[in-house]
Amino acid sequence: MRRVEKVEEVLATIQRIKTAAGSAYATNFFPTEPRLKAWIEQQELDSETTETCAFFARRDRDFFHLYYCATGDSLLREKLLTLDLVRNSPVITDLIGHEGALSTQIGAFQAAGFRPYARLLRLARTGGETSAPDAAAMFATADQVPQILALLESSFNRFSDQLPTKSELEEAARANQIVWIVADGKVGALVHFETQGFTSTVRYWAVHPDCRDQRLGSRIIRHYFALHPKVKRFVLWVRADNENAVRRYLHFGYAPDGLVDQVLANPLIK
Amino acid sequence: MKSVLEILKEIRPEFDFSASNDFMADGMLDSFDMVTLVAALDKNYGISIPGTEIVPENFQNVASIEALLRKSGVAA
Repeated sequence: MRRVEKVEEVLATIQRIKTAAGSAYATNFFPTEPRLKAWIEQQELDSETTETCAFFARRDRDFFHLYYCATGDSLLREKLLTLDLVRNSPVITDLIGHEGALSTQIGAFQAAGFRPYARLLRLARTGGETSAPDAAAMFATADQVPQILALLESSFNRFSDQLPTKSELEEAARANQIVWIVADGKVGALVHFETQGFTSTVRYWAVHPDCRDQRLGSRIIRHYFALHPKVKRFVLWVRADNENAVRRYLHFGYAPDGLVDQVLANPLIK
Repeated sequence: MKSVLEILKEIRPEFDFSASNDFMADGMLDSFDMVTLVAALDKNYGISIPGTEIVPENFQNVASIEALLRKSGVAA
């Protein structure tokens, strides 16, 4: 693996492999340019590429997220077996697609020693909110990021939940993408979201353990909906085995839309 | 045979695709939806859109999707 220096080299690699693959193109790598740029600036992204296959590894805390682009599933399977990163480092990969359509790719990773670690469901609901914002809720500011990050890291699983970095949260705070309600001088409940046109995605919804059963979670999610009267589609990803969270999202009108994220872990992820 | 607008409406019934010139910027389609849309277009028009053409520029609006269909052999 070598460090990626420029966004352009990633895009050129993807395009080259796509062209070589035609309809057999296989990938789990769908980066946006701003996100790629941030990973490269923070020296988090490495790659190993050939004419027909590319692996990208993004460092995240104490492990790597592995992405691939290949001219076909059989080549992916073959190349995975020779990838040093998989043998020597803790690695997670996410395979996203419609239920039942991922078996070939899952098989390729299992042949390289990966095991199913978690399964996430995409849930969606329609918009058309008419409720009023909660007067006690406010946008988080960048100086409040350390306690927000601490709450997220204690509430979610770093391997399966794509936890943000401190700098990503600071950027989100500056962009007014985190709303919260303060309770006893600390973050009582928060929603971190990203809105693009008529679609808004909840990245995290969390309630401080000391503030459970005070309805703060309901208030902050309703506040989030109320901030988006023009949004027509709300989406999010949730772990399928987090029955409490799934039940709450269903209560607020979300439903599975058929897309799943199969998270796989190599043996060095305990 | 369904029109492009009818296929889009089936995938995301909550959106008015005829009112948008940039489906991505307006949050009406994402990269996963593109894969679903390609499968629906392939089936509806009896074509096979190559992987190299599955890029956001070809799915920006109805006109760009229709241009992609013409390039893929669908008669105007």
